[in-house]
Amino acid sequence: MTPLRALAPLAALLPALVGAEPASVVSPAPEHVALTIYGDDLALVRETRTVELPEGFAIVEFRGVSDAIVPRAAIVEGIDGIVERNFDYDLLSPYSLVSEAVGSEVTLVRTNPGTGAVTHERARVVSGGEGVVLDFGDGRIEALECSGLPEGLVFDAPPPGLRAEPTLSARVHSKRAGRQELTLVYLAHGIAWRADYIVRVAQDGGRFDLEAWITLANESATSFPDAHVAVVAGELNRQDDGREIIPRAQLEDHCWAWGRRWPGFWSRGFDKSDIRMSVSALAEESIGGIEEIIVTANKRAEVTVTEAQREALLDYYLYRVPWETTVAAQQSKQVRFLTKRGVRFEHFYSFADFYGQDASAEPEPEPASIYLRFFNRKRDGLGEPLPEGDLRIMQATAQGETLLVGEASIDNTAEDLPVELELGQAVDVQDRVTITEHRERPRLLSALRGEPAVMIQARVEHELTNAKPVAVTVELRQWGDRLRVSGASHPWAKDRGYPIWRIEVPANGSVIVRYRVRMDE
Amino acid sequence: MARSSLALLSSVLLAATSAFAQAQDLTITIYNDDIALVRDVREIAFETGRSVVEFKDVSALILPQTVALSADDVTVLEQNFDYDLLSPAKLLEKAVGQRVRIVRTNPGNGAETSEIAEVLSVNDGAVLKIGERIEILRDDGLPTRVIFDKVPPNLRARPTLSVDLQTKTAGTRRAELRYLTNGMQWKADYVGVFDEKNERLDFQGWITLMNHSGTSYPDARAYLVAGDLNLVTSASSWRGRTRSTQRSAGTEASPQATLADYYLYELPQRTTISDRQTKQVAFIDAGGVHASKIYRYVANYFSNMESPESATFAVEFSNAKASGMGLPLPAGIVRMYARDSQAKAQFIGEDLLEHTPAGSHIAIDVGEAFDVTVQAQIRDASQGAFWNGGFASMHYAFRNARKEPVRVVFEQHGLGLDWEVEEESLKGAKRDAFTYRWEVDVPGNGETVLTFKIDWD
Repeated sequence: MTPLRALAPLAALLPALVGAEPASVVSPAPEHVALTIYGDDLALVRETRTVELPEGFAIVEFRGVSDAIVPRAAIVEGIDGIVERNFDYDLLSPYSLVSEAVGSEVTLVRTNPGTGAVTHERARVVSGGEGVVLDFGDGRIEALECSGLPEGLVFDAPPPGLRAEPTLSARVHSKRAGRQELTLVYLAHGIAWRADYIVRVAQDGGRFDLEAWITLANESATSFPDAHVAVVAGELNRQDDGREIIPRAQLEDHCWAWGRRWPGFWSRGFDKSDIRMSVSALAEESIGGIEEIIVTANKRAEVTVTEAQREALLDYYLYRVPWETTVAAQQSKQVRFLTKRGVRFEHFYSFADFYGQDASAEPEPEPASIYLRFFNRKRDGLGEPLPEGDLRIMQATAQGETLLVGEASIDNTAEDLPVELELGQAVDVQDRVTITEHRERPRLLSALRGEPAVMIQARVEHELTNAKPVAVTVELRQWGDRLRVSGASHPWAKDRGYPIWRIEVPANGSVIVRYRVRMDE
Repeated sequence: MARSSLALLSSVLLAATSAFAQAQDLTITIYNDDIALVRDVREIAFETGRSVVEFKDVSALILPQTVALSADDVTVLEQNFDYDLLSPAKLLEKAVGQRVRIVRTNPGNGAETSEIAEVLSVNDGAVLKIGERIEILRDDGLPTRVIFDKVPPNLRARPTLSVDLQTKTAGTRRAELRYLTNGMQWKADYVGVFDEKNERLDFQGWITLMNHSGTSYPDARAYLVAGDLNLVTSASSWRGRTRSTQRSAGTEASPQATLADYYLYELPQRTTISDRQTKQVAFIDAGGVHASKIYRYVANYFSNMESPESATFAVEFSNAKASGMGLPLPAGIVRMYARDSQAKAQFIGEDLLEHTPAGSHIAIDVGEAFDVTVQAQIRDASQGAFWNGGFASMHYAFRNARKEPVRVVFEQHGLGLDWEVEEESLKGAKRDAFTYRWEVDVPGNGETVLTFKIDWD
C-alpha cells in the first residue's frame, strides 16, 4: 500500500466507541517542509511532523500551516485510522466574543472624561453581533458605544471552541499509544514563481549568453524555514482556486445614528481579500540587483551544484533547488536554473500589415519592429525547455556599459521550437504603406447565403527605407487567414500560413514592394 | 480493492448513541446544492391548552416555509419565524413616541445631568423633545447616554422559530421538528495518484461537507444525497455544461444505497458539525485501477497559428467493477498527483467530475503537455463562397520533444453543412456530423505532419 492510500479510514478499525471525549493532540509546527511551487499562485506544501498519539480516539490539531491553505485538498500520510478531517474557521474575534456572550453577564467599564472616574457595572448582554444592548437588571436598558463615553466590555472568560486561526485537524483512531511520524500534504495559495531570463547579446552580435532564473515570491503570511524547494513548469488544469469562502463577520458600528452623521460614514474594517502576485514587479526591482543576488547565493552555498536541477514530472518539468532554503513570508527569491553561452540568433526588422486595418489613412512612414529570433535547439547552443517568463535583453556599449535594449515574454517553449522576440521599434528602418487601388465587388449570391457579400481587390505598395549605414533584412508580412496575394514585385513565401517577403534594404537606401491582394470583407 | 466504508458502518455505530438522543436527536440530510434537511427530535413538556414553543437554536438560514412540527396529540395553529433582531438602532427606532432618559456628561468637570426626553423621530439621526426644546441627539458632540426602561417585544438576539400549538394532554413527550435550511452543502473531493509507467491509478474519495448556516449541529447523524435535485429555492438553477469528464456513461448497478434516483451516503458515526466548519470523511479507496494517459488537441476552426500550442493530456480510467472500483462517483474535484524522482507525490492538475454512474469511462483533463505541440497552417482556402462550395487545405505539424513516442488524438471541429475530407496524409474517421478525428503518432524528438483538404458545399 502506498503511503498516500494509507490515509483512508479502515472501516474495520473503528470500534463502536462513540461519546468518549477524544484526547486533543497539538502538533505545533512541522519539523521539515518541502515546497513545490506552481506558476499560477499555487504551491504544494509537504510537512513532516511527529505527534505523540494516545490509544483510541484523538484529535490532532495541525498548527502553523499556511494561512492560505486549501483545506479541502489536504492529505495526511502515515496514519491509518483517520476518521475525519475538520477545518474550523470559527475564530476568536471581537465579533464572536460578543455574539457568544449573548444571554450571559459581562462587566461594563466606563470612564468619566471629566473626572477620570472609572465605574464598573454588571450587565446582561441582550443582543450581540448586530450591536450590543445591555440590561442592567434594574430597569435600565442601554446600548454600547452609543453614548460617546469611553466605555467597553470586560468578559469573564473566552467562549470555548473558538480558535485563534483557522485550524486543520484530523480525528484519528490509534490502536496503541506512541510517537508517530506523519506527513501533511496540502495546496496553498499566496506563493508563485515565474522564470526570468537575462539575455546578454555579444557586442559583435550573432550570439548571446542566456541566464535563466527562477523568481519565486511568497505573499502569504507563513514562512517556510529550511525548506526543500522545487518549482513546476507547465500549464496545469485548474478548477477552482480552492479558497474557502470564509465570511468574516465583523463588529460593525450598529449603533444608532447620532448628530448629523450616520453609520454609513464610518469606515469598514480591513478586508484581507485577494492575494495577488506581482512577481514581474519583483523581477523588475531585481534587475539592478542581479549581481548582488548571485553573490549572496555563492556566499551561502558551499555546494557543488549551484543551479536548480531539472527533472521530468509526467508532462511537466520540475526544477529542484539543490539546497535547503528559507522561503520567508513576504519575500521574493531568485535561483538560477540555466546558463548557456554563445546561443546563435538572428536579428531582423519586421512589418506586419493587416490589409483593411486603416486603408483610408494618410500613408505615413511607420517604424519597423526590431526582432530577435533563435531556434531552441542544441545545434544552436540551446535546446532546453524554456518555462514561460520574461526576457530582458542587454547589450554592452562600446564603452563596456551594459544597457537594456528590450524586454519580451515567452510562453512555455519546448526544445526544437523557434522563438521570436519583439524588442521594440526601430528609428532608422521605416515602411510607408500606400493603397494604390481598392475595389469592392458585390456578390449577390453570397449575400443570400449570409456570407461575406463583398470581395475586395486591392493594390498595395510598401516603401521600405533604411537610414543605417549598413544593409538590413526586413520581413514584410500580410496577416489575414484568407487573403490571396498575386502579382508581387518581389518573390514571397508562406510562413506559418501567412505571405512573407524577405527584403534586403541597402545601406541608406530604399526598396519598393508592390503586390495585389484579394479577400472577403 | 475498493470499498465504500460509510454505508457499511452505520448499523454498528448507531446503537451506541442513545445517551444523546434524549436531549436532542439530530439527523441531517445534506444535498449538493446548498440545502439540507434537518430533523430535530427532542422531548418537550407540553401544557394543556394553547402554548407557544420557541426554538432558538435552529439554523439561522432556515427556510421557514418548510417547517413542520409533529408530536402526539398536538395541533399546530401557527408557525412564526421572527428575524427582527434587537440592535441599538432598532431599540431607538422602537422608542419613537416614547420617553427615554438621557444623561449628559460634562467632559470638563465630569458632572452628569439627567433629563427625560421624548423621541420624536429616528431617520438618519434622532430628534428629541426635551421639555420645550427640540434637539438632535448628540448634535453637541457631548457624551450622552440614552437609557431605556424596557426591551421592546418581538425583538430578539437571534432569529427564533416559534410554534403556536394546542394540546389536550399535558406532559413530556417526543416531538419532531423538520425543516430545510440553506448554508450547508457537500461535495466530493478526490485524490488520484497516477503511475504512468505501470498505468495504474490509486483513487480516493472524500466527502466534504461545509456548514456556514450559523448554527452547530451537535452529535448528529448525517446523510448525504448525491444528485442534482430541481430546486426552486436554489440560486443556481441554470446548469451550463460545457465539457464532460465522462466519455461514456456507465450502466453498472452498485451496492451503494439509493434514494429515489439519487445515491445516498451515510457518515459512519455521529459527528458534530460545527458552524463555520469544513468536514471531510473518506468514502472510497481504490488502489491499482487501470489508467492510461492520452494526448488531445481540438482545433475548433481553420486558422494559422503564429506559435505552436500545447496538446492537453488526460488520465483515462473506468469506475467499473472490472477495473477495481465499481462505485458511482458523486460530483467533485479530482486532484491528480504523480510521483517525482524521489517518489514524492506532486500535484499535476485537477478537473471537475460530474455525478458519474458506476461503469463509466472517465477522462480527467490534467493539463497541457510542455513538450507535445501542434501548429496549424492554412495552405490554401477558398475565398468566401463560390458556386460550388468552398475548401480548406490544412497543414498541422505535431511536434514531440519527449524521448518517447506519443499518440495525439486530434479533432477538427468547425465543420458545418455537407463536407468531405480529401487528400488526408493520415487516415482519420468521421466522429460526428461536425467533427473529424485522427490519431497521430509522433516519434520521440520528432515531428509528424498531417495534411488534408476539406471540401464543403
